Amino acid sequence: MNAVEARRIWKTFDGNTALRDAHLAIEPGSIHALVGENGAGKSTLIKALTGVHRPDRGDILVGGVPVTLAGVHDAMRFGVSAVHQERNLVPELSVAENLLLHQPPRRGGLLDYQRMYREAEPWLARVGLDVDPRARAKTLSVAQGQLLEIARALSVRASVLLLDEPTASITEREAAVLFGILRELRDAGTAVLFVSHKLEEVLGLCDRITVLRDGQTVLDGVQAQGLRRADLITAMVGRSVAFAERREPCARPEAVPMLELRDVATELGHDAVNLSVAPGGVVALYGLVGAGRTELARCLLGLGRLTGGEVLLRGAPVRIADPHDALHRHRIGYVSEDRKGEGLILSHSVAHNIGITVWDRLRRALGFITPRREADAVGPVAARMGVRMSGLDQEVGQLSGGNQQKVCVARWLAGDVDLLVVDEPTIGVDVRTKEEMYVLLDELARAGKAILLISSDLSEVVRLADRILVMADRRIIAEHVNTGDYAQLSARIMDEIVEAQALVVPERATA
Amino acid sequence: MSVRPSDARRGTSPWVPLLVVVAIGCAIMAPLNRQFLTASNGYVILASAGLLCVIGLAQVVVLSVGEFSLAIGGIGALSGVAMGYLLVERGAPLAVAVVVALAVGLAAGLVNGLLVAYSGVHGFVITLASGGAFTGLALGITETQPYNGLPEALTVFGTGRAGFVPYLAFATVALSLAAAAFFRWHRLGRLLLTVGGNREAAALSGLSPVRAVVAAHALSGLLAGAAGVMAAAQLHEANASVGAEWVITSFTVAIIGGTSLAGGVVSIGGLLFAGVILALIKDALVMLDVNPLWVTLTQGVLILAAVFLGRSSGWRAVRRPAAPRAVSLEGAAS
Ligand SMILES: Nc1ncnc2c1ncn2[C@@H]1O[C@H](COP(=O)(O)OP(=O)(O)OP(=O)(O)O)[C@@H](O)[C@H]1O
Ligand SMILES: [Mg+2]
Repeated sequence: MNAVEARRIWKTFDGNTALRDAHLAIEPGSIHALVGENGAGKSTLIKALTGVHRPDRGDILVGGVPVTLAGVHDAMRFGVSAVHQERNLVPELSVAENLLLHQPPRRGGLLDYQRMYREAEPWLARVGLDVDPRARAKTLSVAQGQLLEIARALSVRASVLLLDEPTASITEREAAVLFGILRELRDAGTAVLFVSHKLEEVLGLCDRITVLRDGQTVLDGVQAQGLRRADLITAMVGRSVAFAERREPCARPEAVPMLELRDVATELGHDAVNLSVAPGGVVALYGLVGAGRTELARCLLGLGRLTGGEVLLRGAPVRIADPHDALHRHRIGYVSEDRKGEGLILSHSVAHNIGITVWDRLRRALGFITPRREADAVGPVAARMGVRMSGLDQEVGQLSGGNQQKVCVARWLAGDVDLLVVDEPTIGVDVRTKEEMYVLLDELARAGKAILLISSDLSEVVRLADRILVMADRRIIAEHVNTGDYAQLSARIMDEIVEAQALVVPERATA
Repeated sequence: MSVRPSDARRGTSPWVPLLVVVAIGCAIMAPLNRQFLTASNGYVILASAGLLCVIGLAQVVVLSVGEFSLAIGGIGALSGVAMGYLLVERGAPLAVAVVVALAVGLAAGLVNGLLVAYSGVHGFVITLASGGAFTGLALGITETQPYNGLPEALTVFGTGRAGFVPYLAFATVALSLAAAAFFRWHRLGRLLLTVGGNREAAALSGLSPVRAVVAAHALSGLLAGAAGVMAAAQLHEANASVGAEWVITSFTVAIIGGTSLAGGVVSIGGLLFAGVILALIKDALVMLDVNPLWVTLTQGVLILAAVFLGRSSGWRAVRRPAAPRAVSLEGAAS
C-alpha cells in the first residue's frame, strides 16, 4: 500500500492552472523523485499534500485512506512532514527553538531551555550542522538554514518526508551526508519524496521517479534503474534537448584585468586574497558553503570593510563605498544568492523587478518612465530566460521558485555592467534554463565583460569557467586552469579542501 | 488605481469593497435623515474628505518607503501658521505666502528625512519629537491666537463650491492624480516603492535607500504643508492647534485605503475612498446627534476592521513582516 498518494489533483491560481490531473504515489521504505521544469507544479503538489493548499479537485490518501487536510497541523498528525522550497525559519529565534518549534520541551508550562538545547544537539549532528544551538537563526548562512530545516523535519519523526529542493543551495559534500541520512530513513521504512533539478542526484539516489510537465504527470513512479538523464529531460521538456559540454574560453589575458585583487584582507577574516578577471573571462570561486566567497563579494561592493591590500578596476586602484557606487561609478553588478532576502521585491511585478537596472536608461523628460518602453526593454530578456508567468505584470511572489531566480538574474542581464559578480545564479533553475543562462553569460563574456562566478556546483564551474579558484576558510588555497575534466578536477579540489581543513582545525583548537 | 507598478491584473483592488461600504452607508443614512442626501450635505462631506485625503496622502508617501511620520500634524500647523503670519502680520501677497508655506512644509520634512536617514535613530522617535517641536514653534509664532482675516481668494478656495463639489476637492483630486502618476511612472516614485518593498534588494541593485527615505519625508512634508494651507482656507483662520488629530487620521485613511504598513505597496484610489468613508461617518454621527467624541473611537474600529476584512486583498501586505535586514534566512534556497 502507498504511504501517501495524490490522485487526479487540480489546482488553479487566479485562472493560472498549476496542476491538472496530477498523480503521485509514494511507497513506504522508498525514495521517490519528483522532477519537472520550473513552474511544472512540484511545489504546488507538495503543498497540496501538506495541507498548505486545498486542491480544487482530487483526493489525497494517507496509508490508503482518503483524508481532508485543513492545514499543516493536520498533515503532521497523519505523519506527513515537509521542508518547503523557501526557508521557513524565525530569524530572531535560536537554532534550537527553530528546530523544536512544533514540540518545544516544557517544564511546568514554561519552556525548558536547557533541555531544548540538549535535545537539539543530536539532530544538528545528524545533518552535520556544526552551530551553537543558542545562536540566532539569522546568523546562519542560507545553506545552514537549509540543513536546520531538514533537521526540523526529521525531528517530527514523520513517516512521510517531503523535501522540496533540499540540495539546491548546499554543496555536493553536504548533499552526500544528506543522502546517507535519507537512505537510513528509507531503510527504516520512511517514505521520502525528493525534488531536485540536479538529475545526477536524482538518478543516483532515488528508487522511483515521477515527472511533471505543465501540471500533468507524464512519468508516473517509474523505476529509476535503467533510466538515463536524457530520458528524464525528454520527459520534462517534451522533446530532446542538446547541451554544450563547456564554454569556449575567450578571455584576453593580454588585456588589462577588469578586476584585480592584490593581497586583499577584510574585516571578516579574508587574508591574502589575490585574483584577477580579464575582460571576456569567467573566473569561478569554488568552495564549500561557509568558505567566505559571498562575504568577499560583499566586501568588494563596499558592504564590508577591507583591512588590507588593493582592489584595482581596469588597472586603477579604487575604493568602493557601497553598491550604489559600485554600479553607477564602477559598473559592477552583483546577483545575490539570497533571492528573497536581497534580490526580489516580491510584491512588485516581473517588469518592475527586472527593470530596476534599466530605469536610468529609460527615463524620459522629468524622470518619467513609460510602461511601454519598460516592457520593450525587459520583455525580451524575460522571454529569453523563459520566465513562466501570466504576463510581465504578474507579481513576482506568485512565480515558482525557479522562475523567481530567473527574474533575479534577468535584472542584471538587462543592466549594462562591465563586471558581473554572480553568486549561485542557477539555484533551483531547471536544466534547460540553466543551459540558457550559461549561453547568456557566455555572450556577456564574449562582449568583453568580466564575470566572477561564485558557485558550489562544480559541474557548473566546469561548464563556464576559464580558471577555478578554490576558497576554504577565507583564503584561496588553490588555482586551476579549467581542463574540462570534471572527474579529475573534482578529485583534486576535494583533496585540497580536506587538506586545508585538516590544517585549520588544530589551529583553532589551540587558539 | 492601486499603485504597485503596473498591477492592473490584480484581482481585488482594495477600493472595490470600499465603494460597497460607501454605498451601504448612504443607503442606511438616507432614510434616517432627510438632510443626508442633499447637495449641501454632499458638499460638507466632500469638503471634509478633501482635507482628510491630503492628510492621508502625506502619510502614504512615507509608508511607501517603509517608514512613517508622526510629524504630519506639526508640519501642517507650522505651514498654515507661517502663511497666516505672512498674510496678516506682513501683508504679503497670497501667492508668496502660499509658496512659503509649502516651502516650510518641504523643509520640515527634509529635516525629518535627513535625521531619520543619517542619525540611525528610529523614525518613530525622530518624528514624534520633531512633530512636537513644529507644533510648539507654531504655537510660539501665533502666541496661541489664530490669525484671522485671511484674504478672500483663500477663503473662497476653502469654502466655495461648484454645485455640490467644493473647490478644495479639485485640489485634492489634482494632488492625488499627481501622486498616482508619481508612483506609477516616475523614477523617484519607483525608487520609494522599491526601497519600501525590499530595502536590501534595492540597495544591492544600486538604488540608494538613504535618498529614498529623505525624499519620502520631504515630499510628505510638502503634502502636509499643502494640507495646512487647505485647512486654513477651510477654517478661515490659521491656527496652531489644527493638526492635533492628523496623525491618527492620516494612518486611518492610508490603511483603510489599502496602503501597506510594511512598505512597497500604496493605493491612491483606495485612499480617496477611505477619505470619503471617514468623512461620511463623521457627518452621519453629527446628523444622528452622536457626541463627536465617538468619531475617534470609530476611526480606531475602522482601522481594525480594515486590517481584518482585508486579508484577502491588498491589505495582505500589512501583515507581511518586513524583509529581514542583516542576513536573510527566508531567502534564496529553492
Ligand atoms: N500563490 C500562487 N499564486 C499564483 N500562482 C501561483 C502560486 N503558486 C504557484 N503558482 C503558479 O503555479 C505554477 C506552478 O508553480 P510551482 O511552484 O508548483 O512550480 P515548481 O514545479 O515547484 O517550480 P520550481 O522548479 O521553479 O520550484 C507556476 O506557474 C506558478 O506561477
Ligand atoms: Mg518549486
